[in-house]
Amino acid sequence: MGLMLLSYLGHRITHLFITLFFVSFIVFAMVRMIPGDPALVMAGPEATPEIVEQLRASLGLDQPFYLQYWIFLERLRGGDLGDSFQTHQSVLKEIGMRLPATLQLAAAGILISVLLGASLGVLAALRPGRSIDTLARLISLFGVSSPTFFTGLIFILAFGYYLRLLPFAGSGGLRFLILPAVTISLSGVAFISRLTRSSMLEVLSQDYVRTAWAKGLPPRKVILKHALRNALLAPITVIGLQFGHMLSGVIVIEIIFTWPGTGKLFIDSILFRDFPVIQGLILAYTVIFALVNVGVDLLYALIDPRIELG
Amino acid sequence: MPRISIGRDSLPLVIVFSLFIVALLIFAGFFGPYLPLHDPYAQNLMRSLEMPSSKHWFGTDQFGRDQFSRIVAGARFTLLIGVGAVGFGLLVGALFGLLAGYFGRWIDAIFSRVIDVMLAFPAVILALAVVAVAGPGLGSLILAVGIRSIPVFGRLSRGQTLALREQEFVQSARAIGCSSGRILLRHIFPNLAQSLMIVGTLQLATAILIGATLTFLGVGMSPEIPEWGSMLNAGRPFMLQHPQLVLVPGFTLMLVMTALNLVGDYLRDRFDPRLRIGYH
Repeated sequence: MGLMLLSYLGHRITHLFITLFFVSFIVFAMVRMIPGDPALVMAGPEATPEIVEQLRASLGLDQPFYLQYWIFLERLRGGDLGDSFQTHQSVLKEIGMRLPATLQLAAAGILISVLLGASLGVLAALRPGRSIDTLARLISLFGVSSPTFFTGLIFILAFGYYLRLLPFAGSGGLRFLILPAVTISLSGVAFISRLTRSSMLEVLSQDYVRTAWAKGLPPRKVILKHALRNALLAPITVIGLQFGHMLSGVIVIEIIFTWPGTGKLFIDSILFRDFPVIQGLILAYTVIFALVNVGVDLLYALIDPRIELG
Repeated sequence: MPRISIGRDSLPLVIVFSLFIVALLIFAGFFGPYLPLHDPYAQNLMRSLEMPSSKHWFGTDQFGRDQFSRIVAGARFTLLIGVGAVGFGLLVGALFGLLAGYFGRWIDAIFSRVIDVMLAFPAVILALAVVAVAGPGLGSLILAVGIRSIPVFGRLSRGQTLALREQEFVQSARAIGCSSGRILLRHIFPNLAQSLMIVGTLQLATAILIGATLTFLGVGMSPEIPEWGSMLNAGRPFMLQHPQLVLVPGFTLMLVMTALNLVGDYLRDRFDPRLRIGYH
């Protein structure tokens, strides 16, 4: 088991590096795909010809393509993502400053969607057709259909402004985390609760669960130990995917709740066409997304001993 | 669940209602500009931020523009972005999926790698990256939203082509000497069309959502354009005093997405429940 896990991990990490290699190529090629003269577009309308030339040289745009990519990778290896056009700070520093807040929000979002989604799904499966099932259905319909940014605005109006229950702007302490985290978790809650419900219903009709009931085990034991553990396998596979949605959602939600993460930096850099920052952020997001997915695969393998790794 | 019978068929009430919403969207998209409504672009600063009234059903925005006619005008952009993006993703995805599934080998190997790389980007982040490169505008918005659905349609058609390739009718077509192009177009593609349509309906809601997310973030289109996401973004600074500025476009968007999701789910469960797993 230990050895297999290790070789599986090796396999996944190789795979990860191949994907990231391609991603790095796309991020590199992005700037070169800007219609027109990239240096001219990047320097902005007020730039003098000298500045444009300088930029072209520093990007290596006057070099052959393969050499440009080599230079890009060399710099990347040293953690050099270039400097922001707006602030003239190192991109690594700009991102590093804000990334923890983004990750904190995303992690809280995932945690809520798993805990709330799984419990709602289990409760709905135990009482199919009853009011808790209907409630779970309504919540998931809302979670799927309401755009994250609109949910956020509604929550601000309802819980922040009218009811004055929670702060809705800025950060500092757990109270500030609740509204944005719940907002981004909703689509995950919807998805995970539906999935848990159907897989729990399936598991509950299995022979071994009937056996567990028949031999007189207390309900808590049957449900938590025999049924839930197996029913959770399906939802776990989608957590990695959900994390992708979560990262996308976080960008939007950070802007609505003025959360000091990378979201505003990303949008500002797109509006100003600050390409070093855009490239750096896309790399950061994809690396995190990929790592989470490897992590989820491993978690899956650990929970279900039957899974063949490899 | 209450059902309504239409001819020989009977449909659940909620599906009938959803179809009505979708029909309304299509009607507003096509005929919106010809309806006797206020000009959605006309500013009137004397009447800015008015509450809903008999003259302005949904009130006015900060420039005194009629919110109702802006919502109606927004239907056209929503349709253009949704249908354009899904159409683009479907065409490109299905084409490469067919080729990869049918010819296999290196074509499939390259295809699968490209799909893997595309899926390595979270959806909105990929779309934002495209807008960053292509600049704002309707065309780049459609491209940005459409690219993310390529893997969805690509995987679907690759998988089904793989299975169909081994079927007898394809084997016999090959035996009587049909060209690969003919087999793909006349024998395999028609068998894919239904699944593509169903997944396309479900993708429509997602495409509209991502499009609205980009315009909400202010990176997709110029803020004068009456697009629901842009309207939400424009109304945000005023929303504590004038919540209707965000509630109206928000609920419209939500209603349309719910309707499309419900119709898509219904079509899927009715015609092809296998698609339930993993395709959207």
